[in-house]
Amino acid sequence: MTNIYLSVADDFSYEPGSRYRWEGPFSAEEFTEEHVFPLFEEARQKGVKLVIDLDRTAGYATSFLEGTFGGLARRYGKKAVKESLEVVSNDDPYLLNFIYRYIDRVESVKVG
Amino acid sequence: MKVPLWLGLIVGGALGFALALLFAFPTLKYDPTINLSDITSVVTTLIIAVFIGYYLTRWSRHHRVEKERIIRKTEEVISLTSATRTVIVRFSSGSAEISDVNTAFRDLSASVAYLVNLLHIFGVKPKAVIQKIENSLSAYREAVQSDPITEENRRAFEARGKSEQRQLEVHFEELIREVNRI
Repeated sequence: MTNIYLSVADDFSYEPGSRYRWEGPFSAEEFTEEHVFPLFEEARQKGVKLVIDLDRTAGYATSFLEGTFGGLARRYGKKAVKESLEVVSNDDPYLLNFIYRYIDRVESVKVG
Repeated sequence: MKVPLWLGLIVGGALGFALALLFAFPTLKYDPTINLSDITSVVTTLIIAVFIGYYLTRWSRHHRVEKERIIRKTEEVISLTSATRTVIVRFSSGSAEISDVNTAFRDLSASVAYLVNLLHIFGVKPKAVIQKIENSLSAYREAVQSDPITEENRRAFEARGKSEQRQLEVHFEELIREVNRI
C-alpha cells in the first residue's frame, strides 16, 4: 500500500501562517481541518502512513507547528500519531524536534 | 611548486652524491668494529624522525584549516542571528511580513544545522556547547513565534526573544573559544 503524501508547499501554501484562523490566512487551524485531519483518517483506515512534507516553503512559525502536530495528537492521541505520521523536513531539520516535542507533551488523549 | 617527498629524497640524495664526487668530500669509511644493528637502529630512527616531522606538519596545517573553517562559519551564524533581530524590528514597525520573520528563522536554523554537521565531519564535538546552542535556538524561536500576533500587539513584538537571542550569541562565542582551545 502506498503512503499518503501531503506537501505544505504544493497542497497548502508557500507561506504558512500562525495557529488560529483569526490570526490571518493559511493558519494551522485551516491546514489541519481542511487537509491533515481528513488525510490522517484516510491513512488510518487504509493502514498506511500520512507523510507531511514541510520543505520548499518560506518557513514556519512554531505556533503553526504546535497547532498542526499538537492539534493532531490532541485529536487522535499520541500513539496513533506516532504510528501513522511521518514528517519530512530537510530544509530545516530542527523543525522535527519541535514537532515531536509538541506531540509528546499532549496529555489528554482522545482516540479517534 | 609542490614536490612529492619521495622525489625530494631521491633528488636530494643524488645531488649530495654528485657533490661528494665533484669536490672529493671525505667519505665515510665502514669500520668493521661497528655493530650492524647499531647502524640499522640509527638509520631507522632518522627515517622515523623525517616521516613523523612530515606528517605532523601536514596534520597540523590540515587541523588549522578545519578550525578556521568552523570559526568562520560560526561568525556567519552570529551575523544571521543578528539579522533575525533586524527582521523582527521591521515586522514590528510594519515594514516586513510575518513570513519574513519565519524565513529568517528557517535560514538561521538551517545554518546552525550545517555548523553542527561541520563539527561532526571535522571530528570536533564540544557536545555541551552544541546542546546549549540547540536549546537556545529553540527557546529563541518559541519566545518569538509561539504567541498569537494581532495588530494590537504587533508593536510589542519587537521585545520578544531579546534575552534568548543574546544567550544564543553567547553560546556561539563559547563555541569559538572551545574550538580555539583544541
